Amino acid sequence: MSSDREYPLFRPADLAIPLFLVLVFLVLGIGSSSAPRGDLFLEIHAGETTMTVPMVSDSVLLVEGNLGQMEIRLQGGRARIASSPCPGQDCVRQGWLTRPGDMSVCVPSGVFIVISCDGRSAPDAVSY
Amino acid sequence: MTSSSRGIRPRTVVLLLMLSLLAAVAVRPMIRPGSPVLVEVRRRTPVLGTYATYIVVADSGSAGRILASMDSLARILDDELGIYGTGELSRINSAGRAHISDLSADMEYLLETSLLLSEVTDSLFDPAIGALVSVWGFPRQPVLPDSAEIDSALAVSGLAHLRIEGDTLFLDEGTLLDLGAVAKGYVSDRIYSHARRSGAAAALVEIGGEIRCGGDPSAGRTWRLAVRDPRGEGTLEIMEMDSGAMATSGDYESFFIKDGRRYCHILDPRTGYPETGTASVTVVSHSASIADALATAISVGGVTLAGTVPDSLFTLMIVITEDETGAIEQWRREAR
Repeated sequence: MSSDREYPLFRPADLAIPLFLVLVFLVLGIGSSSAPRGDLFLEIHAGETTMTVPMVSDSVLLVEGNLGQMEIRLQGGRARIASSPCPGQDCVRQGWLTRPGDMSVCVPSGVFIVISCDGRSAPDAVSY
Repeated sequence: MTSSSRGIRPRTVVLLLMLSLLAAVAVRPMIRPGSPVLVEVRRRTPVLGTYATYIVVADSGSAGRILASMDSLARILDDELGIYGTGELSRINSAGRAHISDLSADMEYLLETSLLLSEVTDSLFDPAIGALVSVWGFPRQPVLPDSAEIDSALAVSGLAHLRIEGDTLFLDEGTLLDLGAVAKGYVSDRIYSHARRSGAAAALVEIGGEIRCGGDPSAGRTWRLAVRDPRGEGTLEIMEMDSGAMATSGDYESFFIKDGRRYCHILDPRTGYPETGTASVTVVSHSASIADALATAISVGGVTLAGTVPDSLFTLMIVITEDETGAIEQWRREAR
């Protein structure tokens, strides 16, 4: 009997734990749903091709440039050219891009990446 | 008895479970490097004597492959159906005949659709005016032919000069097929379908201003399509579309001016001369092939023809007319 009094299943203060968890869920939930399908995009321009990637998740993209395959990394809302077969490696040394307008160019590969804001206000195509 | 001898307390178990859940939630947004993510890939490239734009929404592992296969298919269709190609259209025009059983599915569909659209447009859409197009030299070397040349070409132009006997399609001597008024729309439809079958969650194909677009609702992609202002550099309007097609024909795209008169590339199959009075026609439909052909026919037939097109073939039509004084007027019709 004494043990029941000493260790009840829940004490009032234990409510703090589920409340804390609910709070965590709400913060993470709101964070991901408003993670603006695209507030920020990474545009990867390689020759005639442009790839647009929403910067909402961490990933590694492999892109074919003039000299071979390049690795572009998105991580924590930042982006960079992580590897390139170019001789100078200036694009790799440039490091992380974080803000709209930030750009990294690899001239020998014919590839550049740039962070853009939601560019979808421009038309996707023109009928003429 | 001490507490340790009783084992783990129940609320400790609950606490551990909750902490495990918290840890699981905290790492949820992390994706392993290299995992496929949904990306949007865009390419602009020359095809069918004009420029094409392809946009594909697909996972990062397959988007590039889908785009490349779209490009390849466009080049094959360009060669088969284009007026400058060496494929099926060229062979039919050279031989003046073709066995129907030998026709490709593409050509069969185009001819059937052409016959249907010719019917609903009072013969103003006509793919058998290759001889006329040839004497006018559009689009590469447009010239003003003399009236005798136009009359000779007119005499062998029109679907009346195409006949089917048994299993064989015959063109009269001198008659040439020119699918220019429907091919860009058709190729847009074909490449769009190919992209979706190849795994694209959403796609847009635009060839020379003829557009086909769509996608899974889960892709959440609404397409913004602009219509060019026929008498300015800007945009007439921008429409948003989840799925569908849009085509525009205008007298500004390929034309020449001689003695103060504008001669555009859209020929009236009744007279053999370029249409006048319509600056542009935009048709929104479920099919780019149909939108493309209707836009051309209505450029010739004007609002009179636009008023008679069955509702099942379009969603919206915009006709911009220009009278002799240069006054511009906009006419619209939405399908019921």
